[in-house]
Amino acid sequence: MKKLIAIAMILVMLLGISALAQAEGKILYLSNLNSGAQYEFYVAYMNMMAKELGYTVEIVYGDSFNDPAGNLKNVKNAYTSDVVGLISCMDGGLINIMEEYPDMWVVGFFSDYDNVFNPGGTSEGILQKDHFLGLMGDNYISGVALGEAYAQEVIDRGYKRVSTCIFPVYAYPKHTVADKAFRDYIEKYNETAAEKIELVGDATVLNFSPLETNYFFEDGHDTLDCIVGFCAGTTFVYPTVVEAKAMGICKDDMQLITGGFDNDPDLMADCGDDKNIVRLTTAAFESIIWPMAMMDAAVSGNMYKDYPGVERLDSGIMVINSTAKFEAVINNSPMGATNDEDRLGKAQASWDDMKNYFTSVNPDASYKDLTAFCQSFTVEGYMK
Amino acid sequence: MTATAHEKERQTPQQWLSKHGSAVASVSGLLFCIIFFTITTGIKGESIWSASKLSTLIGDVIVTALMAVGAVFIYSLGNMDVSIGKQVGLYSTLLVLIGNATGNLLIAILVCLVIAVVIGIINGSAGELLHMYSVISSVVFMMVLSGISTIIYSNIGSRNISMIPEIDLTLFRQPWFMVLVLAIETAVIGYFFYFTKFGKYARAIGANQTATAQSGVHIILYRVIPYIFLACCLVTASLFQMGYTGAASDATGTGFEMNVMVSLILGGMPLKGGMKSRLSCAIIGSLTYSLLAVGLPIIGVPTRLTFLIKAAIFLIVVLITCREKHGVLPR
Repeated sequence: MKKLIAIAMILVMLLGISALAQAEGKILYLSNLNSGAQYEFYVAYMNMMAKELGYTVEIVYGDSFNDPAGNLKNVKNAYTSDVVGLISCMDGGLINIMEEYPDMWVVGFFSDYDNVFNPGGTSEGILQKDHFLGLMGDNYISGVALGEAYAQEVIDRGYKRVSTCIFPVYAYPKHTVADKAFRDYIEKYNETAAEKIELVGDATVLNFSPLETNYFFEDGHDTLDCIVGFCAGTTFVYPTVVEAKAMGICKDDMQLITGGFDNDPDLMADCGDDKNIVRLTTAAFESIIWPMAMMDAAVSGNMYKDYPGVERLDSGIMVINSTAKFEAVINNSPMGATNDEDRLGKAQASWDDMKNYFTSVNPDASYKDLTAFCQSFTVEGYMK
Repeated sequence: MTATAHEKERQTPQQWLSKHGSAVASVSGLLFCIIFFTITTGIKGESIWSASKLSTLIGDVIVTALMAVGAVFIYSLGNMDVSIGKQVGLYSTLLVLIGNATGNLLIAILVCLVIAVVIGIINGSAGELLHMYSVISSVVFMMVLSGISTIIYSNIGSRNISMIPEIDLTLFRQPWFMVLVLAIETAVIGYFFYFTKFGKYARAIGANQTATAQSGVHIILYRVIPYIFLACCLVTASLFQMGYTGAASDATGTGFEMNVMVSLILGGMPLKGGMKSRLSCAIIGSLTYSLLAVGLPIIGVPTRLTFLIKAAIFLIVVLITCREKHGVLPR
């Protein structure tokens, strides 16, 4: 009897070891979110891909303020010997993380990585490291493209009195660039327009605190048609707009153009052509395929033959700027799902759709095709 | 034999346990964590005592422990300083800026020490001189320092700044050096806390300020001195905080005051201060906290759950160690 038990135990151990041997390793995901529909989808989608590829994924929460020491500490605490790579949504301290773990592959996602790509940035040194694979950012990388896109939206919607809100330039330099591009675009439009658009005042800099109600008591803000929030407007501008309307200190039909996504039911019910929020711009949710595919290519040793080296890329861009599009996102996209099965079912790409872009599945896969595929996801994909 | 010695001799185990319950609970908690993680991480094949994880553990614990050791003095007064985090943030920033400008870290340290001592003197004396809770002046400093930090980083035009490579910071990343500095700081603060009138009066003020004042103790002076000890500890902690990455940011130090508070409470520090205040609370608490932070991910606990587990343990410790005899928590 004892021998039988011993044999059974050895079998269990061997099975355990063989199961472990099948795993290709652990990928850490240094997240800049810790809740919400986008976060839940990213986790579910990465776990699905990891399972198919034989990896495991461990979520590590980045420092809420992108502090270098905070990020390094969090990664060090989560690091175990089976970690093969890091998908990082934070760039603070990334140079220290890569110096601490030189054999770990690192790929960026859902962030601008100004500390890495801007000259003099504190993590600039990682561009020289061969284990850094590049970045797929958070919608537009270029502030100019973002500013011009918002300006075109203002023109298309026929607003005549507009103001802008940004975060401080030291924290989000892209916002200042976008604001300037926005103003230049509007001024150029005004040169030939029959009815000009008035830009009311300079950009209001929000120091990571919400827009204050007394903003609407300042010159001309009570008659604004639209506020363009380059900052996270759903959090920092929208609540004040709602409050101001309730107090009757701004126009009833003033609207907000901004970025990010929030699946709070009350907020989403207030999005649409005739609602408070008329446009949201966010990264396409399925773009997270890109960092997983890059990580898989590096870890498996099958790097794309046409990989040109480190790049900073736009993600797929979701421009949600009509009632129909908001409804599509709420009803047909993973953002409206309540469980992982539903989230995966509503994604624009299933494993079968994406697997041939992974070099461990298809050694002839192309980097160019992968990038194009990940940038191809749009809100229209949920409207079919 | 003195009367006190006679009393000690007559103590039953139950009486002793009742008197030292919070110390026993905190030491037991630490021992439990050590034994638990030694076994479980060993089973997982990735011992928490391996060189790399030990280094991670020491790196995790050092800044909190350095701050907490200094904060014991303040907590023993029955006070708390909520500007600790912002002070560390400012000193880390100044260390980088002045270090880069002068190429000399020593000058930067001296400047930080002067500022820290001035803040300490104001923090320590304001409560008594202006007849308000001491914590209020630390709240004011927290806001002022936050504003200064914002102005500095706005002028720099970046959220992160890093030290020039000419200044070698590798020493501050060496676990042996971290342990050595922590040991020296603990020994120095321990000496002042247990063997000089500074510590005795601080605890006496925490226990009963009126009685202490009537005994002829200069309350303002002996309230200010603990803050000066804390100031020195905060500059030391800032050196390691900045040295860890060779960088500082506008967010450096955010929430550190809470880390200190949680560590001290986990270590069994009485929130009201007084004669039961112990320096060991700082070391035991910060070690326990870091053991959880480093150990739980190794045994496969998802990061999300580690927060819940730490919160649950904190709650249990508070309920065991911080309740008054009649069953309520102190204000």
